[in-house]
Amino acid sequence: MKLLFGNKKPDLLSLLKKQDPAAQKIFYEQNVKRFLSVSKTYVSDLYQAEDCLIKAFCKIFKHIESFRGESNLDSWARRIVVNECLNFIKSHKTVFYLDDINQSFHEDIHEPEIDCDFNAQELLDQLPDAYRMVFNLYVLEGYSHQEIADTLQISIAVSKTQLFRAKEKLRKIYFQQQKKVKNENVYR
Amino acid sequence: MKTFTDNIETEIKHQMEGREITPSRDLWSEIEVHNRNNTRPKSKMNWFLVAACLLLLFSLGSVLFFLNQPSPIQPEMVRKTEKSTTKEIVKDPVQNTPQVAVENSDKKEVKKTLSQDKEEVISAVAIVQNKLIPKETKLELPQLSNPKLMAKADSLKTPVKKKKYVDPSTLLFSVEHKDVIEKTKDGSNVATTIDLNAR
Repeated sequence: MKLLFGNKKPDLLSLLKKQDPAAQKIFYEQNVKRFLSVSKTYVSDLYQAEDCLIKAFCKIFKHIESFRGESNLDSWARRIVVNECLNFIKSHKTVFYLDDINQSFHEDIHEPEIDCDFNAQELLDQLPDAYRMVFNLYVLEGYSHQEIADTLQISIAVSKTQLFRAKEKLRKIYFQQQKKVKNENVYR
Repeated sequence: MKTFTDNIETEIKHQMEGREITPSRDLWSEIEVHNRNNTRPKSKMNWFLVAACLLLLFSLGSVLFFLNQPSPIQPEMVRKTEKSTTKEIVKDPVQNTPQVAVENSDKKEVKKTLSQDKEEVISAVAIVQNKLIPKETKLELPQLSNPKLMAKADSLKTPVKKKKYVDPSTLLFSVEHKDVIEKTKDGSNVATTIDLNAR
């Protein structure tokens, strides 16, 4: 399988570097759904997420020659999509990063295991932009706090605080949702 | 032991990794339009560069062309200089006349030829006018009808010879033995005896 993929991918990459429209369309069709999902985690509005994705694809095709092959092409393209979404949020919305807080006062409360039926996108959509960006970068993209600080141009302490607050917020939202579901079941 | 937040993190990550969302509209057509727009400005820039280069070359060429064109003052200068040369050329024969006159025995004839020569040279100069070049005048001079003028023209070219003074005794000797001298001039190596007593 690796041999098969190994034979196919360099060909697509070389064609993409030659700005071949057919190769570009193949690459688009292979990745559009997955990348739209990524875009949607950062930008809650679907239309705006699609706009970000269009810009991201244009950048990918334009700067494909700068791809050195050190990493996977998909991860390189995914990073461009994420950066495009972050730029969109920065340019269209005012993001407030709260000051760092002493985490020792907010110890984690051990709760019973969560129900897996919740909708993760609904939870993320209710998070403020600042929290969501840091949470997504840390949890979904696997960035370190240093990388988050460099990307968002904030301090590492602020990045840690935002992550902590994001998790707190998610917990609250989750319990609110659970309460709603329980109430609906009672009324039924 | 895993905390609640850890659990929710992993659950969110798990849900997001495998998720795919189909676009609500045709994104590819918009991407194509963007790609076309991105490629067009490059070609435009190239055309602008080409046009700018052509304009620059044309302007430089025109400037150089107008700078190289002779100004209206310059022809007058050339004419003046040409006239001065003609005058010099005409004057030269006059200046040389005394020497020629001294050499020739018939002074009257020389004067006449000189006067004719002046007229001929002036007429030749009038024909040539602005195109007068020393070489051309030299070429035209042999075409003159009068053979004396030709000789005169040759005399103009040849440098002035120094006067040779002849001893009267040798002159007398050469006259007396004219025949013998002529024979030797013919190239005959026959030794001849000169009878000094014979008269």
